[in-house]
Amino acid sequence: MSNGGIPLALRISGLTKSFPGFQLGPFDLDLEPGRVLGFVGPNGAGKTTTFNCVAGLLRPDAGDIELLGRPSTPGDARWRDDLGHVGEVGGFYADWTTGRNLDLLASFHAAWSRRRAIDLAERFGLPLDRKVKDLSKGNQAKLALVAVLGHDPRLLLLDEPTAGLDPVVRSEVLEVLWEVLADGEHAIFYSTHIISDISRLADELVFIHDGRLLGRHATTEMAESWRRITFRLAVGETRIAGVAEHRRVRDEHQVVSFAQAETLRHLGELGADRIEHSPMTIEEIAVMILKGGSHAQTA
Amino acid sequence: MLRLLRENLRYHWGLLAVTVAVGMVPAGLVGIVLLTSRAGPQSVVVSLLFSMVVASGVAAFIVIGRDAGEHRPVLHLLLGVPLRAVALSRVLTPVVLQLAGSAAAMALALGAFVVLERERYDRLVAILPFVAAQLLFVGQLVLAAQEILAARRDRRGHLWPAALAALLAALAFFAWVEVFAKTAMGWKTGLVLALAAGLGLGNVALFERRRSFVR
Repeated sequence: MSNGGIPLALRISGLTKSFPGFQLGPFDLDLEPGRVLGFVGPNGAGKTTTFNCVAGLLRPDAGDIELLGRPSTPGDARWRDDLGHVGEVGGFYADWTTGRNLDLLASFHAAWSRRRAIDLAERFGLPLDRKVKDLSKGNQAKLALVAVLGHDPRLLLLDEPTAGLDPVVRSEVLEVLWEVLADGEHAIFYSTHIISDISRLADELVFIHDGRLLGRHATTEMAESWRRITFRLAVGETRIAGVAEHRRVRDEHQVVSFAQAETLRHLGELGADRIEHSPMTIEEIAVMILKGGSHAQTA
Repeated sequence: MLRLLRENLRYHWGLLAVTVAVGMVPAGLVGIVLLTSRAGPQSVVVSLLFSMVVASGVAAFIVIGRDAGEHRPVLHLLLGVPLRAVALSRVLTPVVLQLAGSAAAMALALGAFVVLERERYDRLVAILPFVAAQLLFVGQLVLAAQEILAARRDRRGHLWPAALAALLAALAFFAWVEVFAKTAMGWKTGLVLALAAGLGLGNVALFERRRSFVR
């Protein structure tokens, strides 16, 4: 339960899943209603495995998963009622049209809104009269999104949902997700390689590498604390506080700081001059954290 | 489960019709060839009815491959349907399709038995269900092979060797029924159907114990 007695949208504890040559976890993770959690990591880091475990498409080796206060048990499917999952495969009937597939979903979800599904299809430019097997990769991604948004689930698991979409449709998708979040009851767990997308939407980012969580950071705090700083300092080898990366050409230095106040204070103590600092994009910060590996845990 | 099964049948129905229709062409040609040789006109009826039963079995095999290729369990699981219902619909879809085609062939054979010359068709009425039962068994065998491979991929240590041993035992029993059993065709058909039903139940149980539904 969250602080207000409202169930967490997602609670993962002690999740572990192993394959030959790869182990995910163990880790804990939670997500409150009304929040967006971005899941960021390189290919093979364990993002899709985590999503599949949460969606019940993979059984974890250990750990508990609760969705909106309901434990995910294989025999009882009620915990899936309020879950929408966009993953690598949708399982749609390839020889049926997109419209026929959406009709099928409507017959299984009590909360399905035909008007909403048609509206979303129009906004995304998804043709309803074309067979799924004839859809482009982008249109298949649109179908997956309409399929999960049509019954208005309170928890959305979106694993690379905008892969293959052009920038205009990506922007429309993000707009729709903003609308979904408006009532404060919905939560989104979102993984993507397009960090510029998630940085606009996510309240927090969780970084994962090689199956291990590297850290969890609020996007606003990241934007405030990370800075690229250039300065001049005659001192040779020295370790500057709060620095993730340091480059030096003679007396000219460039550092990437994950704690700009600490770094600037230390530079002042060292007597650095011509200090200039510029903000970094969330994408640049994410790359630094993922490159930094274990360092990011202390960031 | 019934809703899933109904949607699956709606999706695959056309495939059964096409497979049976396509199967009629070579069967008709064989019948005509037999007709022009020393065989009687009943050879055309026999070859067409056999082709209906076999085509229904072929359609069932295609359905198994098609559902696996389109990752159907992923969609069905995310519909909020209980796992057992997904497992049952997966096993029953090819069975129902094949039975529908075979039942149509049986009805035609019975018609021929009643309306036409009785002695020419009584053996056909007995052998068509046996052929259909054999194809049902082979269909469940294909699903069982998929489940054993899945269990092996999931590294379910004791489960997949045990399932493989059970499958080999079922195959051995099937071979014994086919080759050595000195019993009436009806009994043989019943034994093979029981074997297919046992495999089907095993397939449901193995599917429910899967650790991955995404491969």
